[in-house]
Amino acid sequence: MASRRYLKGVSIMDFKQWEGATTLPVSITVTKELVDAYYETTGFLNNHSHHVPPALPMIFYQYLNVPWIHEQSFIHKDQKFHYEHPISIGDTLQCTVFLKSVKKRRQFLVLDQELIGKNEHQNIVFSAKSTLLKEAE
Amino acid sequence: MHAGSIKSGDTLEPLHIEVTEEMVTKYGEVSGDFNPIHFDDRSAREKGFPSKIIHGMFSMAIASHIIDPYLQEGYRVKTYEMKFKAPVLVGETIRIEGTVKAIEKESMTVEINVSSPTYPQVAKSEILLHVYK
Repeated sequence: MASRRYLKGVSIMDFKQWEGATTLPVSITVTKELVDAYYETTGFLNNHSHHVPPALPMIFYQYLNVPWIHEQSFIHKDQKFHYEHPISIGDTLQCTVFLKSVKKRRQFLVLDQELIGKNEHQNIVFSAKSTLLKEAE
Repeated sequence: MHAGSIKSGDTLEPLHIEVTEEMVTKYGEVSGDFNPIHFDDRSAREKGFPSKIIHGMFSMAIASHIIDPYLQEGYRVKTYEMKFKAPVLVGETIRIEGTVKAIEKESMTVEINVSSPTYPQVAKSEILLHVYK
């Protein structure tokens, strides 16, 4: 996940205190420039006009202040996107991240969290559920 | 390809993508994810990987291109799920294969396998496509 510095030796209690927490909402507009730059990373051209790639919302994390992943490094284990409606270029979404659970499994911390995007009517447009791993002390 | 001609068991045209250091750097810039395990061999080795690895979410971004032909047919992604089984090393060429698992009147499920020269399965995935009206 996004950060500038990566700390070592973090215990499960550092994360447990955030279990059940939700970040403040951030309004994010999906611009053509953002979508084109995202497409370009994969070496493909955007031939689908207003279509937004299905895994793109994960880059919204860089605009959100998620205190429990601040300055931490994680490995992705599972990821699931669910769309109530397709996202189009020009859409503005109110995004939050919810830390659903923090567990210890063998030598790993396992975080289950969900990024949610809502439209102006406060209806959920998409959710992005992530299972993240980090070596525990 | 026409939606009417798609049937369960159909295989999609596989993709072979070399994931270069330049691509990983660009993905880091676009995503804001600068975890050193993606950019520095020593940091990756400290975490138990043989060398620097690509972002899991980058492999998900790349793999989704296998369903591009269906997007041109009017399908849109309803759900996209991936389980990451092994790392992809920066510089490796990944192979993405897809099979139509089920098809109904307005939806279709595609199973995807991602492999690399190092691992026969680095990720497995399922995409549910839907035609919105």
